[in-house]
Amino acid sequence: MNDEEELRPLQLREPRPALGERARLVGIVAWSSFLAASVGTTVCFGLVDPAAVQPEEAPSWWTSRLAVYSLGFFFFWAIGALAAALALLLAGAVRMQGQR
Amino acid sequence: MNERATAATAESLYLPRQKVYPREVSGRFATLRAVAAWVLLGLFYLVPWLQWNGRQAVLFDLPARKFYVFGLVLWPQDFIFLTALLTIAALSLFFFTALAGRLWCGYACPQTVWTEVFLWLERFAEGDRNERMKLDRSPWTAHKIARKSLKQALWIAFALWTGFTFVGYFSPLSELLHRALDFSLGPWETFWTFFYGFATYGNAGYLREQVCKYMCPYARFQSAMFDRDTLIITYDARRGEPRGARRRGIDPRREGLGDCIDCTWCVQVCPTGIDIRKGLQIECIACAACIDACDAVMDRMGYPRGLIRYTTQNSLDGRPTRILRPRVLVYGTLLVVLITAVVAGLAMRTPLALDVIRDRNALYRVLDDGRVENVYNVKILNKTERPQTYVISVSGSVPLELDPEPARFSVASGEVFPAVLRVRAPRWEMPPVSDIRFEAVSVDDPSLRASVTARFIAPNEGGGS
Repeated sequence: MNDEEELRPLQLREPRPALGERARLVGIVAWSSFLAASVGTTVCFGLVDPAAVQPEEAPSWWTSRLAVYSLGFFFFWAIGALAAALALLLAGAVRMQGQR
Repeated sequence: MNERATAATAESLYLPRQKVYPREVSGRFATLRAVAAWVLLGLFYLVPWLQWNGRQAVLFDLPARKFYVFGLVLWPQDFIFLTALLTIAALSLFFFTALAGRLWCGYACPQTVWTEVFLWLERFAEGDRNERMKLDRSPWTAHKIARKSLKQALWIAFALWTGFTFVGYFSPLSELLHRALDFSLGPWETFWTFFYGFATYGNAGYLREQVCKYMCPYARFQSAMFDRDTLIITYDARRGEPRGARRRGIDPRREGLGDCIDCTWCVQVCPTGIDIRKGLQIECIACAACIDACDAVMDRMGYPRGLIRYTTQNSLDGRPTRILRPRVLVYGTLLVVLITAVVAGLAMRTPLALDVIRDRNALYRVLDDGRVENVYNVKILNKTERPQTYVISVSGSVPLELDPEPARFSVASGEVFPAVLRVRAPRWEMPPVSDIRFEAVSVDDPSLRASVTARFIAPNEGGGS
């Protein structure tokens, strides 16, 4: 900051294409279910050890703890996303009724 | 056609996002933020390399279900400590928010810290704010491609290293590095490295302030912890207004002006792109960049610093600020109680667990010589890092006989050893139901002991009458 010129206002913002509404809703669903899945995975596998399942009883993808943890995480994520998407859908219906 | 109409309404519902080009700022709080970033990221990248007793010092070994934190080894049975630590983290957040506002957001949040580093890299590759804005507007010349490629290369390398370090907290890092150099990483290790790397790249490189504005749950509920005595960053409108440009050296009061010269530096440095002069806003992450910028301008104008400053609503209104208030005391007390409980729990925790369950098949058995026998399934969990030999003894109101005798069991580190123990007692001396006590003691370290109470069942004949 060494010359008078710099104290004048500059052009503040560059406009940028915005995310559409649908992309934002997808983002909200993905992100909130991600947070829930993190909690769910931690608690679930803190209590249950995948290696405690008898090998003959385990499904074919039950190969290692890391694999079960990871797939478990995606399972929780998918379930969470389903709940979040339904919540958004139903909340949208409530809002539309409120506007009527 | 229809879709285009929908798109148009969608556009009008939201203000289009405008890219924020934060201007570089220097000053007290910028230094503090840089120090915080160095310390926190330094810890993040260095801690997994520390060694302790020939193993990684901090390792959340998910494949082996063991958490190592220096000398401490936590097992799934110690899950309660993890829960308590998370609760302490949440309470600390509440406590510091009530006291000093969004300190977490401004200085310690990974989003802020990694964004700061990505900004440094961006500045290194593309230059300062004006140069970056010019570069973005310019056509794709060789110069622009070179600058942008350099930035991407730096970002991607840094993000991948971040993802790799992250995985190193869950799987031993030096082995991981060997396997990475051999290109023999497991599929999930590879996946999580790229997943976390990509998340860092996207969040710190592109989403930036949008994470704070649209994705962060804390930003939504932090205002519930605020009151009129919470430290906030605010513009002193009474001193600043009416704002306006002026020549240097004039007396603003005579011209009917406040101290704000409307240079918009506070807006230009803001990483979330807000104007602090409009008052407290949910987007403000309290990074204090605007304070540094404004102080520098005030210095140049010869005005006192602090037109934008850390203060409280009460002090802004000319009322006294109280630091000790009910909510601060409640959060503080809960925090102290919980921390004490965790420290005490960790100090008193024995790395040996004993579990005794009565055999379900028979209540009791009367032997030929008239004694009563009960059978117990015993589980011994060795939570130390060395193999141990334990001796189990049993005691009750009458002398009891244990089978096998002596009951010595060698248990490997981290193993659960299942044993079947038979306890025999003289028939006529035992009441129908009584409590007996099992105790396990380590042979090498007699202070390593655990005991548990179990039921002993005898025929209901009462005193042999």
